Amino acid sequence: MGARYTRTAIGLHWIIFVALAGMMTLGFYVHGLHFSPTRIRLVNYHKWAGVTLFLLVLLRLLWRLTHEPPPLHGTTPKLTRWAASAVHWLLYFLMFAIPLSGWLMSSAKGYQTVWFGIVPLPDLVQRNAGLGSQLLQLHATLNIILIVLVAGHAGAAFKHHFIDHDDVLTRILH
Amino acid sequence: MSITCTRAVALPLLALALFPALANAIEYTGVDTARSKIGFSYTEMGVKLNGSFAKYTAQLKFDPTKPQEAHVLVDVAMASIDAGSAEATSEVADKDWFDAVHSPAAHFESTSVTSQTAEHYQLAGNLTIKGHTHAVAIPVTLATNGGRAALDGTFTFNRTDYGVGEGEWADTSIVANPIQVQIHIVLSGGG
Repeated sequence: MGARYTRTAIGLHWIIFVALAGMMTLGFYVHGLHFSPTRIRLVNYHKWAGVTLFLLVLLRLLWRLTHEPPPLHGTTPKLTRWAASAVHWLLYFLMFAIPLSGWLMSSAKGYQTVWFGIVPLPDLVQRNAGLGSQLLQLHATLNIILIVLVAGHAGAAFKHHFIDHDDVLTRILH
Repeated sequence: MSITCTRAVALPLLALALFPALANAIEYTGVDTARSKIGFSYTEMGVKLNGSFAKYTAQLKFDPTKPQEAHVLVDVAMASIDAGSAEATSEVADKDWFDAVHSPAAHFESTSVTSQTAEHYQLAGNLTIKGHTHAVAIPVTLATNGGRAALDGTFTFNRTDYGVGEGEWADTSIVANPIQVQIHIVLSGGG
């Protein structure tokens, strides 16, 4: 008790959760569409939102590195502590790597990413169709790993709330 | 006798010195398609894509000193397109785009060539894509380097004038209307 998350940390946690869920839905939906003006429009919206989300994630990482989160309870076993920490850092890694892989994939497929159609991002890789499909695979796989980890992360939080009856879940709510 | 001889040599030399253009009064009679390039670029929701055509044939007759007699004819194989991305390339042979089955080639035929300077020319002609013909004017620059010569130019046309991108693709808020074409034509047969 006592130690709390900052309002900023709580806000970023939930904003990024909702944004990621929407982005993933849009991404998987767009992937199934035929090449059409609608697809191009949605893919571009996905990229614009992806760049925005990438910046939010960077802000969140910076915040996390400068603001110590409230510690786990003293009774938490060492292995559980280690697992919680590993999952948290993996989640940060994925939140960073997923938009990055999308950006690289776009360049490899021949499309420079232009944020809101106005701000061009540099192409970090050259156009290369083979690399493009590999990066698409990577982008999709990283997302599936993220879904699994988020499920585990949420499951652990529910376990704290419903079985352990502690405040580990509620302290990220308010 | 000797005076006449000297004069016979000296006069053409004097002429060359005064009119250096005459010195390279060479006529180019063909295009080195292996070294030439036909590229284009277009914008898709603010994203610039660069494409090119791999196959085309060209007939050319061009004497830089007599541009009014020049003639250029280019046939571009639409099926050889690289539209800037794999998915776009697989789409553009389609009926809504180039309809490559019914219109396998785009044609350009010059109607007049005029010189602005010894390096700058205006290449006017008719461009036919998918059965639509419109006049285009292409400013070109002649660059000579040793025995090599090349014409470089860019021009822009609106894709909707040629029925390129019909149906759902006619919406220019996705694929913008202007298509910029970049040509680099390496001339052959000079001499």
